[in-house]
Amino acid sequence: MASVHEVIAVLERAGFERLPKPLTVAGTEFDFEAAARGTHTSHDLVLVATDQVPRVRLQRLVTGLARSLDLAASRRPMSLVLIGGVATSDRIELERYARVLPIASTTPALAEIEEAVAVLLPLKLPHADLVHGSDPVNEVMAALGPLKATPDHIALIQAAADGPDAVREALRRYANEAAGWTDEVENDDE
Amino acid sequence: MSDVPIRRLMVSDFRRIEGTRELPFDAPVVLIHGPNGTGKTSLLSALELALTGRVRSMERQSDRYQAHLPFFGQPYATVRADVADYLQAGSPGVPLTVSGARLEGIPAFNDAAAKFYAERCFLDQSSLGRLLDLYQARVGNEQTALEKFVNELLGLEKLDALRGGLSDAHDFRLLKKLAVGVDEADREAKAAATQLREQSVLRAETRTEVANARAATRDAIARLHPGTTDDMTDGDLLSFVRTVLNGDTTRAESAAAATLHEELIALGGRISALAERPTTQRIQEARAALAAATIDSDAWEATDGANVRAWEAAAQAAGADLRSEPRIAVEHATSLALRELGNASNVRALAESVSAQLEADRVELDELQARLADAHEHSSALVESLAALRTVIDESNRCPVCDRDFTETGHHSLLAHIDTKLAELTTHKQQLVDLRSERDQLAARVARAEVEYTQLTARLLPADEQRALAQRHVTLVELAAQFGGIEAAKSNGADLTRHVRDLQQLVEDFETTSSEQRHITSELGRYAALLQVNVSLAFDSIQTAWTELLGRAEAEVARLADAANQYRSAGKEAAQLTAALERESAVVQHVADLAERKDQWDGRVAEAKRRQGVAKEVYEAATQARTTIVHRVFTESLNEVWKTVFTRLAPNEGFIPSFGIPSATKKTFDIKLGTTHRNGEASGPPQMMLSAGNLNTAALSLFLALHLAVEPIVPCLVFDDPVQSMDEVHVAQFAGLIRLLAKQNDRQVIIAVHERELFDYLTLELSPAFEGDELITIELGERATEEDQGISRHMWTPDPAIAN
Repeated sequence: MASVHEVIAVLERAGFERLPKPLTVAGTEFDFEAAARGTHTSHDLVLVATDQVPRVRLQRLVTGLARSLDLAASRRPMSLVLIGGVATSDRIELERYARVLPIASTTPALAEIEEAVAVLLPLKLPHADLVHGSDPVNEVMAALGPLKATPDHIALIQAAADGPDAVREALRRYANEAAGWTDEVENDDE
Repeated sequence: MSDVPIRRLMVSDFRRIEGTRELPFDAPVVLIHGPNGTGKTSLLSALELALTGRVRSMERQSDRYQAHLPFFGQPYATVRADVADYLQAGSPGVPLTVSGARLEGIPAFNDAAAKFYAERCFLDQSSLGRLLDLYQARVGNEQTALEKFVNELLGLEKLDALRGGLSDAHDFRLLKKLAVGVDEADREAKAAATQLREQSVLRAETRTEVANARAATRDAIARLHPGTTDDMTDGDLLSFVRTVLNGDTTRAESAAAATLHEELIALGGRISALAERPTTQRIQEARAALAAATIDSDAWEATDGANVRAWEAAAQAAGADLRSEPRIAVEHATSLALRELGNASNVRALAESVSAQLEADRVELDELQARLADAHEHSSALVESLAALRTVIDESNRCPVCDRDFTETGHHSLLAHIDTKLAELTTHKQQLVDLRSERDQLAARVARAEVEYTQLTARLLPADEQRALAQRHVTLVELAAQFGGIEAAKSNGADLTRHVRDLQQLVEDFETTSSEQRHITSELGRYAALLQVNVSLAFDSIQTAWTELLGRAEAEVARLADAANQYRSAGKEAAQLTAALERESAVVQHVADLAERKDQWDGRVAEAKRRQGVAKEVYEAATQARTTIVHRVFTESLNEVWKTVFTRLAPNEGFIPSFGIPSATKKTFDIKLGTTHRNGEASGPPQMMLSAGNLNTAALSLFLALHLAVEPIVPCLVFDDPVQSMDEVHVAQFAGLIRLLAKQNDRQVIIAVHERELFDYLTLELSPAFEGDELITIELGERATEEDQGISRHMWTPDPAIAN
């Protein structure tokens, strides 16, 4: 039963709400080991079953629930998390009524659970700033670190906005200036 | 959900759609069902055209696809899409008309939205199966679609600009080439370093020079003033040397010593000339002898001397010249007297003879004179008469005197006769001349004889003289007889006189010697005092004293010469020290200048290198940022999203497609697709490792991943039958994913399917889940002819089965 709790915990962290036992739909009780439903923008109904439940009984439970939902004109999509192995024939039968999310192990690790129920979990998309919109200059500054973020560094980095030639010119002036060289002198010479 | 990007589509006579249809799209999810051939794909193409002005899938087939867009037999097709304001390009509600190659009107989306829609939102049916290939297709040298996407996604232009612009900072030589000032500074610094090295060597040399000169100066001055300069500075040392040199009197002393030495040598000559010192006794003896000899001489003077003088007076009176030997003089005078006597008698005889001759000649002359006077008278009167006569005679030959004709004589003319007579008379005159010459000679002889006689009578000695001469001759003979005695006496007297003179000389010499010795002794005493020597000045030790003094004087000269040398040497060394110090000071100054100059240039080079370092740091940071970004984009973003999406769609697939992470430092990316096994091991490309169904899933998930990886300019996903070859598991997963995207990730989702069952399943699965959620289903084909035109709006209703 521990694994059932773990599955529910994963779902709860994803915004699901655990439903009280036994699951009651339109006045009919269904003895699933655990059930949860989506909240806010989700209206999924997730059922959790272990291999402790005989397959025929499980079959009956799922079929009955589906019928009850139909009768109640409920549009909730139904998913069934199956802990422990499931025969392919049983699974095909179950899939007629619900999305079956099997977990092969009876004592699954957290990653295994998350992988199995992934389709129910929110997409983990990269933070937008990490991918785009963020100026790569910020990345350069981060790479430099606070100690090296002197005005000199920044001046060179800022020249990058105008392309490589601007950077090269900035470097040229910057280096020449260090050597006490001024371009005016150069021009006088020429 | 009024903020969905696509609101409505109007399509008219477009491809398979005949007539005009107005379709609502203003819901988070729009499901379109159309059996094959009912215009499902046409509808999505119309939507693409209305939104973007192009139909990319058809564009790939033919660039003249627009000709085929109007419904068969119709001249043109019209489409119009209503979109959210923020994506709107032009005025809303303006349709787009396609007629043949012409396209009129403007698409609904602005350029960015149109581009994003075509690339990231709309996945048409024909592209899905070929998506991986399309993404990786390369035309010429252009970037593949995937590479373009990645580059845009990475936003590396700035970083590449930074890296490209700073690449010269990696190598100091390149930096010098870029920044000539740095090059110059580097060269100046190196030149200054070289010069500084050289000058430092020179400084070491000058310091050695100074040390040597200082030591030499100290040595030199120590010889003059030992131990005084040990702790002096160079300045004190030099001024001390100057003071010492100012107090140098050796030159004068040396000259004085040299003079003294010369005087001593001169005195030495006088000492050696001082033969022997006469004793007092000898001087007295000499004086006594002189007195005695003087007495003898005086005695002789009184006796014999008087005789001699008397004789000599007599001889002199007798005409003897006593300047020569007296005897010879007397003899000579005697013979002279004799000859005079003889002469006198000869003259008398001659005078008598001349007198006689003269008397005879006078007589003869008188006689001749008379004869001549007669002859002369006769001859001259006749000649004159004849000559006068001749003038009066003419050719007549008649004599003027007698008038006789001379011709009678028979001989010749009278004139010739007179001329003959005149010639005869002329001959007679010659005789007269001869007679006269004879008379003249005789007269001359008489005159000469008279002169001679007068002379001879003048030469005749008077009688008294004749007697005196005779007397003198007698006297001389007497004197000659006395000569023997006189000569002996005279000789005696001469001896006496010589003896006196010799003795006088001796005494004089003795006195001179004595005086010289006194002088020498006094001089030696003076020199001894000058030389400060105590010497014995007794006569015997004069030579010794002199030798000692000379030695002393020589020593003094030598000492002073030595001292002068030392002063000179000190002066010379001090001058060298001064010069060396000056050189050192100049070199030290030069070294200091050079060091300053080197420091200055070194500082500049160092600053340039520091700035090179800064640039390098920026370069490194840019590289690191690039690496970070590339890694983040590929691992955290692209691969992660792709994996997330793919594993949701194909949870049982062992191989997960992924981007091969390209080298971050390369400017362009060569994007390779690969797979990674769930155990983390990299594997082959998706085309090799995945089944056809999962390959589709991989393509679909890649499309979704690319869409999710970027800023959703158009938050919308449009699929044309994306699940054709998916099995049921995948369909269920796909439905779950779409639901999430639509309901949690705010994407408007438009899906067209041709399977009824799938349509129904998706209608259920994507049904409104919360208050305000909405689903539009559009059914094409026959349902479209019904009253609602096959369009249904599904609104959310509370779930009666499980209360919310």
